[in-house]
Amino acid sequence: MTHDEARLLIGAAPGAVSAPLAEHLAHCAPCTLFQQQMQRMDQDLSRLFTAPLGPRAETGIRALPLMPATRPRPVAPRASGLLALAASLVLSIGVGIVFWTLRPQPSLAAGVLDHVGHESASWSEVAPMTAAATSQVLAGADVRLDPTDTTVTYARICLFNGHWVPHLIIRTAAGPITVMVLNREHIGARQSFRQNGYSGILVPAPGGGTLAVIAQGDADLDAVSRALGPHLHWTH
Amino acid sequence: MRNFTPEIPVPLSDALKPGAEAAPMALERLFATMRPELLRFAWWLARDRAVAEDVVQEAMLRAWRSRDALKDPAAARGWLLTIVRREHARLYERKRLEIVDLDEVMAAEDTQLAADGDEMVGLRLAMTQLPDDYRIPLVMQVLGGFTTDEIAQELTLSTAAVLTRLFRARNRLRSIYGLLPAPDALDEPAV
Repeated sequence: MTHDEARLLIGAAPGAVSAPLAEHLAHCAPCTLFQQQMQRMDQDLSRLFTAPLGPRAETGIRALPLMPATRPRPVAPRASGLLALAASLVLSIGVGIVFWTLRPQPSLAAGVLDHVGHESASWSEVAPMTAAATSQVLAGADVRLDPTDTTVTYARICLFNGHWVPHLIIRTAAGPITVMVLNREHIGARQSFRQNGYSGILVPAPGGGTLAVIAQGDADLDAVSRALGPHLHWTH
Repeated sequence: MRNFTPEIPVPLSDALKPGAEAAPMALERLFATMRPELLRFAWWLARDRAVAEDVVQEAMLRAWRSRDALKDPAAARGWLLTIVRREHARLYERKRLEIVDLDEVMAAEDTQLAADGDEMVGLRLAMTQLPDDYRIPLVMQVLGGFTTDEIAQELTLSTAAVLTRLFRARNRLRSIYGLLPAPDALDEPAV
């Protein structure tokens, strides 16, 4: 084994020593030193990788520059430029406020549609679930549904925005309607949306949180939310 | 209202079996346990906290939907890390994110940097500046615990290419930032 071959193996996996490498190391002090240095660096890497992450940057997914930006070096203003500096500062703050106001907001509706799209097979469920089975599912998310004449054909607990939420499909005259009970999401007022053949609304739930009601095509979604919302209760 | 964190009355290994009634709860417990590690793994892949959180969230949803694919509960950690790695790759394919703005990365990490020693600061900076081709296999190996063969399979590379990339990654960390000077010059082997 040559020195280059030995160092390739060491650099690729400092903690692994095959028999041929061990034989080489037994007679090669420089490669042994190289191995020790690499092992020490791996210990530092392990410490680095397991260290707590820093605070969350207020940045979302976005297109980023292809080259790393350089940190601008601060320049001390001259006295004669103070007025210009102040004007620039005011302008910058104004522009910043405008951009802050107009910045893209994470869309709850988009998240709901994405989730529903991933469970497209749920729409084809037609067999009614028993009230007991529905209750059992909902209980897993601390939700109770009063006895109603609503026909539930699908009930699951789904992970949504980091929390487990009930995902129901109910049968109506207009076809199946999806209802998601988002007890951790809060909105100020009713919102409606339409995309990819789906129509939906988000409404504040009577017991807190938000109801998402979605149909394939058009349907009276508000009627569904009015009929179902008062009968949903948080149990904790 | 409260966070839904039920106690699981059955062992995780049993609960994760396909069809087990407690599987959703067991998976949630697994997610909760693994989330910090998944987030660190995703951060070192993406070098951006917000992106890492999105990657982990998407990965958890994907894991939930494909939970039946997990045949051996003992392999859950590697299974989840693999899903995170693939979700990160998908995100970059969709968004065409090539390189993060390192000023933003460093600004977001200033608190942590201040708490580290000089050597760790240099290592952190060096790691964030490593090209994806070198950083990702290294993170998979050191943080994820993947073997070189597993990395090769996951990244669709030859084992020799993975060995070379891992060697080059460590060599760059050392030579570019003055960490652990090499005992003598070493040419990087060809892939």
